[in-house]
Amino acid sequence: MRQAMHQHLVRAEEQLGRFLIVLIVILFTVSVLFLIALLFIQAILSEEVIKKAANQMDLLLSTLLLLFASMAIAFPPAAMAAVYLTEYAPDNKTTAALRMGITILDGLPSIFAGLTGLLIFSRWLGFGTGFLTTALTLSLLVQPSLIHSFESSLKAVPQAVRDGSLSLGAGRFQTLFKVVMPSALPEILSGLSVSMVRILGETAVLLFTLSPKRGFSVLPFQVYIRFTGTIEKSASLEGALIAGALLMVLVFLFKTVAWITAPGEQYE
Amino acid sequence: MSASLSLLILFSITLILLIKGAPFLFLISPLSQISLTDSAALAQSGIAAAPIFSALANTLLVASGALFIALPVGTASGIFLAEMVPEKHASLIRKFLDLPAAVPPVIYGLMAWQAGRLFFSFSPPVTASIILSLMIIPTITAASEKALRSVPANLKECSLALGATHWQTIARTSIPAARKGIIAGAVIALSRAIGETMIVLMIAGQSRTLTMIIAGEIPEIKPGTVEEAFVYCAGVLLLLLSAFVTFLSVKVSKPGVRAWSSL
Repeated sequence: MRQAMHQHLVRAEEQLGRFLIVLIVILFTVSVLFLIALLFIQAILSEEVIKKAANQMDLLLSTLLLLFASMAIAFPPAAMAAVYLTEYAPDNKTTAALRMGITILDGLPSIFAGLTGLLIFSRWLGFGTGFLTTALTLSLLVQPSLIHSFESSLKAVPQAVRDGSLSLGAGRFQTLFKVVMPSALPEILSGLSVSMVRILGETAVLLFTLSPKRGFSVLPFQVYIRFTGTIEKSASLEGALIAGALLMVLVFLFKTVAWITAPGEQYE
Repeated sequence: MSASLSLLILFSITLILLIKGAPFLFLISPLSQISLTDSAALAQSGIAAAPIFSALANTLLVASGALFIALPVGTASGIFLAEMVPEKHASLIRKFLDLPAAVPPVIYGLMAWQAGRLFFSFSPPVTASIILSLMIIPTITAASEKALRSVPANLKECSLALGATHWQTIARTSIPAARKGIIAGAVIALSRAIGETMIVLMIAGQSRTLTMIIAGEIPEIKPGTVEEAFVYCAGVLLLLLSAFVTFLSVKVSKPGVRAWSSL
């Protein structure tokens, strides 16, 4: 009798646990999907959406331009740092401290990148606000995470591959550029596209490096500007919603690219 | 080495911020002439009365509220992915559950404001916590899934061989063994919640956080004023806070120590 009771309790606990977990996961995804769907529905329902969307095209282009410019600036130093850390750095306390520092910088809030951009590029070097400052600041922002992802993709190349190349008489540079880099390429690309998704939605930095009234502007910044504008004047959110929907489409696009380029998971 | 140049740049940035901000930290002390916690002096100088320590408290409150929601949900999703979903579908579901992390914070802020206006009305800090939790859940999910998958198979097999059910094995063997990884993920998520600017800037309203002070004031202030001192003071506090939290997460998940060695 007690045995049966116990069995029953165990089964009940198992079922309850499974039920709760599935419920939580479903609730979570539904709530996120609900928010995203709300954005699109409201953007589409607003009047003259096609005409308004056509007016956003230059914003879309400048967003893409900023994205590629900042990636182009960020890539070379991050790649060099990653190569240094994996291939050349001695295994000592200085290197460990460097790694720790990069990890901490990676964890810092993005407004610090914005603050730095404001202090160094905008004020100290006198670039003011605009495209150049923003691109430089964004490239600073993604630097640590890029270094991390490049480093792990270079580390994933087996040591035996390097040794094989070296034993065939290739130099260190040749090994790096003709053997290690090509085999790490898929993961490097995937790391790049993950960073691109991050830059695309980054807004906090733009508050420091772009001017709200005139000049260069991009989609996420416009979402915020129009949002605050409507709050103050209590008008409709139409403009912010349309810019937001366009930004979301771009983000999904780049996220899909990141999925496609992502190498297979290591869990299998 | 030209490669370490970028590292040098990064560190000098931190240093500049610290140097620029550090003197202002002393201004908070009651001994100084202009006390930055003195809301009257700040209100006089044009900044809305928001003493720095209440901002710190707000930051911690909003972030820990977000973590309070995100930790159970994230861990549950991690268990779901690691233990309950068939391998074949796991990678697809993982991508799906990772999607909320890719949504830009500014969109979250916009939609939270909109949803709050249309469907429900919590107080602004609570809304901020809920929305922040959506953003940080994927971090916890990924960390807990990884931790659960790195629990050695023979531990689970021992538990099953002793007659425990699948669920008992998850609850009493896998989760305790993966504890460290889950906690490290939670700490990283906490640091993301602390540093998030746009969501709190757009929803949190009157309860100002550290990031709100920095992002909200910086574009207008002139160098060399009390306002600037106030903002950099907030900056240094935030820098110390998030550096500490990140350091903590690294220490918790020390690579040398296996996640299950404390068993």
